[in-house]
Amino acid sequence: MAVLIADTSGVVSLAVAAETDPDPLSLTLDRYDVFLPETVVGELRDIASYDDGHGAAARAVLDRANYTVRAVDLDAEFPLDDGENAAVTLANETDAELLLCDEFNSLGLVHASLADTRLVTTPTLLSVLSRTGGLSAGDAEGVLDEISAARSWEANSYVARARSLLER
Amino acid sequence: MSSDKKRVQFRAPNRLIDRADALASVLGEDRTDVLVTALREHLQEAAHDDALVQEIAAAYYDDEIGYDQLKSLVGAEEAANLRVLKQQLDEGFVDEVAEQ
Repeated sequence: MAVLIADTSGVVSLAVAAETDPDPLSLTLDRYDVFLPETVVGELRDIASYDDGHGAAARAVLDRANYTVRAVDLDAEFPLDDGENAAVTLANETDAELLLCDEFNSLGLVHASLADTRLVTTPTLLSVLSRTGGLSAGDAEGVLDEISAARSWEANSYVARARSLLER
Repeated sequence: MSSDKKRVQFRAPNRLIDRADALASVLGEDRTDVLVTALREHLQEAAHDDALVQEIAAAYYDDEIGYDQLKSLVGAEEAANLRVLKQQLDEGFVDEVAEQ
């Protein structure tokens, strides 16, 4: 099974729609060997203390058991925040196939810091889940609507284009 | 400052040019200085205007502008982010990830 490392931003996006059936968080945990850096789990615990959609999403992730938590030493060379830094370091240490990250403003840097790991965003992962049969195109669009509202992605032209990728 | 200059010709409403000339007189500059300053400030502001950056990104995703043009409009860091996002939209890329 391919290994997918998730940054806090990506796993929270997926979990925003954890109440949907089928839900993208379960589909991802079933399809990939998901590893979360300990730093990301710490960030999830912080977010989980908030009584809002992001808090509920973080709690939904923490409630699941089918992922592996790994401790990593942060690479001081990366000018990234701790969660992204830990995710990139863990991806490079484990030669993971995929890194899920939705921090659109630092993707260039995250991408440049990865050795052999492919970077994916949640909208792209939804296209993948839709292509591989886990999620119908209609369901994937519904999930993307839900995540877009939670993430304030409505005005983002990348997300708009990713939506048309789902419609095909 | 680059000494490379391009001669451009364009039509603009009379009133706008009259106002540019009036401002040039006040500042002791010529019309070209006023227009160049206005254009430079407009382009700098555009790089910080979220809605405009999204329009620029859309033009890049749709191949209406190239990477060098993108970089000149939004700067190297933002252009690098948008290049990664454009790759995420590539059918071949999605297929490759789906095969993993």
